[in-house]
Amino acid sequence: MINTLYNKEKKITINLKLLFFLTKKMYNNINDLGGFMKPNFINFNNPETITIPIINPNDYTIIPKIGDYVYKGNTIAYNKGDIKHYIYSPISGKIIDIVNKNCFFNGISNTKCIVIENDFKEMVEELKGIDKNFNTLTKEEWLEKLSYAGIQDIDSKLPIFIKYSKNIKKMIINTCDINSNDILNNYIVKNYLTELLETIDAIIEINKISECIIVINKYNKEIIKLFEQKIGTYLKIKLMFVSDYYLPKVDEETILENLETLYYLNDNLKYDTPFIEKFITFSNKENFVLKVKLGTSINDIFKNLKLEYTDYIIGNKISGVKVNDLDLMITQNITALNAYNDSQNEIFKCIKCGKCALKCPMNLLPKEIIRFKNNKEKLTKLNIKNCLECGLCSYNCPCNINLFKEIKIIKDGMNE
Amino acid sequence: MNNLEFGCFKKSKLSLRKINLNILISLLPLIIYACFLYNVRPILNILIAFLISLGIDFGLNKIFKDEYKLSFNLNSLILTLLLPVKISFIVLIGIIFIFKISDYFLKKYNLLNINILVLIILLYILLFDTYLVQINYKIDDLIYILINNHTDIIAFNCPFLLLVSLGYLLLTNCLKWRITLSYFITFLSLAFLVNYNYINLLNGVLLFEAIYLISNSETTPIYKISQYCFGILTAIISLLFYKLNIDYSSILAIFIVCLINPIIDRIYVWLKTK
Repeated sequence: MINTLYNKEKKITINLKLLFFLTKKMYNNINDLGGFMKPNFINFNNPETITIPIINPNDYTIIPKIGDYVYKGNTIAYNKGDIKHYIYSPISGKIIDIVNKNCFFNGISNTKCIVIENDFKEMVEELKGIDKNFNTLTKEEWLEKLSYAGIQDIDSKLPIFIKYSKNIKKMIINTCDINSNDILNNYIVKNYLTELLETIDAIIEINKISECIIVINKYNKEIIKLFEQKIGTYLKIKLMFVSDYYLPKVDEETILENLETLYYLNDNLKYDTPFIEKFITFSNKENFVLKVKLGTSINDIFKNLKLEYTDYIIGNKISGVKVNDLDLMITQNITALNAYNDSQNEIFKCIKCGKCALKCPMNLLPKEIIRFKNNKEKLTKLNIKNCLECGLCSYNCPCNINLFKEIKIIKDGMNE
Repeated sequence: MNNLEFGCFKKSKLSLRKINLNILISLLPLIIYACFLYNVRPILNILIAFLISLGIDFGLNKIFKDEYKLSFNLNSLILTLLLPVKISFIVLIGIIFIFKISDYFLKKYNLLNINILVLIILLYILLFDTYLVQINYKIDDLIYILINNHTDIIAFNCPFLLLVSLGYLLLTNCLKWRITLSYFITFLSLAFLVNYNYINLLNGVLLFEAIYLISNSETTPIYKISQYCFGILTAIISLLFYKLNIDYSSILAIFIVCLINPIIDRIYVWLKTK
């Protein structure tokens, strides 16, 4: 009798221990967003060739010719118009070809590309030291410096100095917008937080910004902890916690920024390096953060990671674009690659559940947008321009209807 | 650019199959309770309905050369639960036959606003007129009604289990709860105007209608506000019919409002884009 009681007690203690362990694991997982935040980092800087696409080749002047040798960081093309935009060589080597190739820029388009063969020497024309006093620059000096940086704004696709050339009073660094890449944001914060805060401080000083807000997901406890540890001396930088996503109201004196661009700005401010390398995230079973040179072929990346995929998604798995062309190269607007295993995408008839409209963050009516696809007046009244292209309508549709695809085509048609 | 395939490459967990499965799970307690009351007869009815609907599906798809998909048709199950348990097998087979064929053609020709389930029940009432046994409840019977309603219809037998099913469907997000809620609230708040006996609210008929008939996804509006309007309108028409002494007022009201449900959506969209 005593033995049975003892055994029962023991069982209860073991179960309690198990419960405690599971709860702790669950709590950790919630903190880590389901183990989402511990990506591996791979620096892939040795591609055999680099292909630099020149979007709108008629507007650009290509400097080197086939057979010329270029150093790392040399200008290889620049914009002829009023807006300065320079394209730099990410490697040192010989120009082997200037051909037309497919590249990804808001869809796949065929454009002129400069192909450079890597000599793996990373030769630079002149060595530059670290600029320690970068926050003493005047706004004009900084804008001049930025105009040579070659960094583009992710949203407007315009050179970054245009964004900063206006009078700025408020800066919002949004890590919770619809295009934000959580894996990359977490990686940058964990590894470069000090540099990020220095850059933000320098931008505040240079532009005489009175308020800077960093928007963070309130469930991302680890990141919040890191920020709270280091933000103490930066009085003008404030943290804001949101539950899911944040859509700020932007007026003319407010600018939106993201952590990735801030990292590139830090590189440019400190080391005076042009924009030649880029972070992307790669996901299949695991998540990687890759640092790659602009123009690296996706085929090279797959070979380096020892992966055999022919289909992949550019962007995230909800709103991305499915591509099966491995010859595409990394361009500035590619932020994530997802290896794709084809799943059954059965199309049933709509059951009128209304989940598409219910889950739309902008309160749009996706079904009505498709119904009025030929009526531009109605589409304007249905606020199709407010569509964030988040893909939640398709994600939540229980009948697997790809509403997002239809809406994107209609929206692109409206813009044209 | 239009040849590219845009999202969605990842799906939420709520699929059509999962919704159907959840509705089936929510009906299981009722079926088990019916077996406790009537032995194997409910299971026999359900099996016959299932096999007949499967056979008709298969046959129709072969004749019209559509792609055949083996799926358990939940509507034929709900229909079986709405018919008296001791129904003759020939009548049951006939009803399921008519239901399946009309359902197939309505879906094929996109006439989805006709609530075929309610229509078949109305036809059954017209033909046989033995649908519900009217019982005069007393106040003392209140708890007893909730547990055993003494009707021969499985769906209305145990209102308490229907409440459990309602809870399950709400938890799994498989119900257009706005319709159910607005229907209930309007019914409760306006019933005194027509001298409605409030005890009848507990006899299971209203509950089953509100959960499984009125919130049928295909025959109800899509948008939030139109769903509320739909529920309110159904309750008002139902009470109006009750006042006019029309039998089976609520089922008739559901059928009529389902017929005009696209208009409610259209009005909402028209107002939004005005």
